[in-house]
Amino acid sequence: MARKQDVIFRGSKDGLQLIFNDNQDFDILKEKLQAHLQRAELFFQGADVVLDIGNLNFSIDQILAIQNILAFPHGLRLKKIIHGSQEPSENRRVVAETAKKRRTLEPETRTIDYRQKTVENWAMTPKGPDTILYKGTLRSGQRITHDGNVVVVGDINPGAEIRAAGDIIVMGALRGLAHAGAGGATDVVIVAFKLEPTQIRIGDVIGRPPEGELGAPREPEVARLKDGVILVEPLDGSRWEGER
Amino acid sequence: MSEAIVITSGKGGVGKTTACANLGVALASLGHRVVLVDADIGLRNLDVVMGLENRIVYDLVDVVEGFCRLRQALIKDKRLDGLFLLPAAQTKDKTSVTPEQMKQLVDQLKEEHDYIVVDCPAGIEQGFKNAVAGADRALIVTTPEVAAVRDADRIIGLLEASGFENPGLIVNRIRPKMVAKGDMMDIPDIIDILAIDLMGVVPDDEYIVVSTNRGEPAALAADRSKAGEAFMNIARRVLGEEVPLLDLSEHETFWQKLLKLIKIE
Ligand SMILES: Nc1ncnc2c1ncn2[C@@H]1O[C@H](COP(=O)(O)OP(=O)(O)OP(=O)(O)O)[C@@H](O)[C@H]1O
Ligand SMILES: [Mg+2]
Repeated sequence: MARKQDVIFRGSKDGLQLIFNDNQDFDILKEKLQAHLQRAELFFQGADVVLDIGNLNFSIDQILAIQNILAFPHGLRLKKIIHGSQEPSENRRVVAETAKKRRTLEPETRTIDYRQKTVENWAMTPKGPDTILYKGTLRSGQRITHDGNVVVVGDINPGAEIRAAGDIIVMGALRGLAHAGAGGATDVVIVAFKLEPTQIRIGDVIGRPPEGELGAPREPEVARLKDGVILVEPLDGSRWEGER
Repeated sequence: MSEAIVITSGKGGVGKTTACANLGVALASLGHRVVLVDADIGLRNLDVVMGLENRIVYDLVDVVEGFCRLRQALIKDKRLDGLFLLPAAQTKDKTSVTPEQMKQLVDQLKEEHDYIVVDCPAGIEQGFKNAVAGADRALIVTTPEVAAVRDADRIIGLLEASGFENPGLIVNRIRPKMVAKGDMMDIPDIIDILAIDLMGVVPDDEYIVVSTNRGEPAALAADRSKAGEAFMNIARRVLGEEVPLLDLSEHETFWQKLLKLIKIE
C-alpha cells in the first residue's frame, strides 16, 4: 500500500508550502526535513514557508526547532502555520448521514475455506505489480485473479468474477462476484459506483444482498468487514482513508 | 436405489434446463431427495433458473479438482426439503472435467440422494459426453420442429451406441392450436420418427418465461400453469406411475365445450 510521504514541499501562491504527515513522529519529521533541505539547498534559498501540520499538535519548542532548521543554513522564513486543513465540519455531516444508510449483506452460512483454493490460484498467476487496471466490461465467464489490488474501469456483469488479494475498486456497476482479501486479508475493501453484486467476499466471509432487496442506491458504496459481517455504506473518501 | 437421469437434446435452446429445474422440483415435492447437476460448464444457467445464483460458493469443477468436498459445493434449496443444486463453473470450460470424473461424482451423489438430474449442454462434444457419463437413464427434450427432432434422433443414436436403453422423450413448447391447424408437427409424427417412449408433452406457456426470470420453476406452483402441471406429470411417469397425457386444449372452457355441444359457436 502506498504510504504518505512524511515531508512534502509544494509551491503555492503564498510561497513554499511544507506539508507534514500527521501520522508521523516529530523527531522523524525533523530528521526528514533536514535531509530534504540538504538535498535541495540552492533551490529553496530565502523563500517564505507556509507549514501545514495537518492534525498534529506542536508545542512552541517544536515550532521553534522547525523554524531553526528552516532558517539555517538556507535562510527560509516560517511565515504561517496551518492546522487541521482537512475541513472537519463538512466531513462530520457526511459521516452522520452515512451512518443512517448502512446496510449489511446477508451472510452465507455454509463453511468456506477459501485460502486453500486461492493459494492454488496464486501459484498460477505470475507475480505482477501491486495494482492492476482493467478497462472494459468484464462479462459472464470472464475472471480476473490478482495477487494485489484490482481497479476496473467498467462493469462486472453477473457470472463474472474478480479475486484479489487486496482491494477491489470498480468504477462502474458491480453485478457479479468480487472477492477482496482472497489470500486471507480482512482489512480490505470493495468499492463500486453501483454495488449490486451477486455475491461479495471479504477474506473468508461471504455476503449476498438480502432476498428481494431493491436495486442498489445510485451512489458509490464501499463494502468492508466489521465484526465478521460485511457492511456496505456510501463511499466517503476521507473517512475511508481515516479508518485504515 | 438411486438413479441418475440426464436431460439432453442435441439442439440448443429447446428447454433442457427448464425441464431439469422443473423435474427436480417436481421429484423433490413428491418427497424424494434430489440433486440437480449443471453439467453445462462455462454456460451455466440452472442456478439462475433455480434462483440460486447468489448462493454459489464452490462449483462442480472445484469438487473435481479437489478444492472442496462435494458436500460443500451442494446448495440446499430453501423452498423444498431434499432438493440440492451442484452448480457448474462459469469461468472454466468443458475440458476441465473428464467423463470418468463425472461418473465418479454422480456415483458419489447417488450414495445419499434418490435422483440425480443432470443438465446437459447442447451439442455432441465433450460436454455431452461428460453429462451422460454417470447417467442411468436419459430423457431427450425436443420441440415440435423438424431440425430439433433431427438432432434428437442423432442423440438417441449416440446414446444407444453407448449402451443406454429406452431413453424417454419430452416434447416441449407444443402449441395445440397450431397442431390443430396442421401448422406444427404432431406428437404421433414425432414418435413415429424417434420411436422412443413419450414421457410427457409440455405446452408453450408464457408462465415458463415469467417463472424462469423469477428463479421459481413452474412446478413449484403446479396448479398455476399447464406447463407446471405437465412437468409434475413427467415426474410421476419417471417414478413409474401411469399418468394420462394432459388435456392441453386450454382455450376451451367448460362453457365453450357446452356451446360446442349444443352447436351455437
Ligand atoms: N414450455 C415452454 N414455454 C415457453 N417458453 C419455454 C418453454 N420451455 C422453454 N422455454 C424458454 O425457452 C428458452 C430456452 O430454454 P432452456 O434454457 O431451458 O433451453 P436449453 O435447452 O437448456 O438451452 P441450451 O441448449 O442453451 O442449454 C428459455 O428462454 C425458456 O424460458
Ligand atoms: Mg441449458
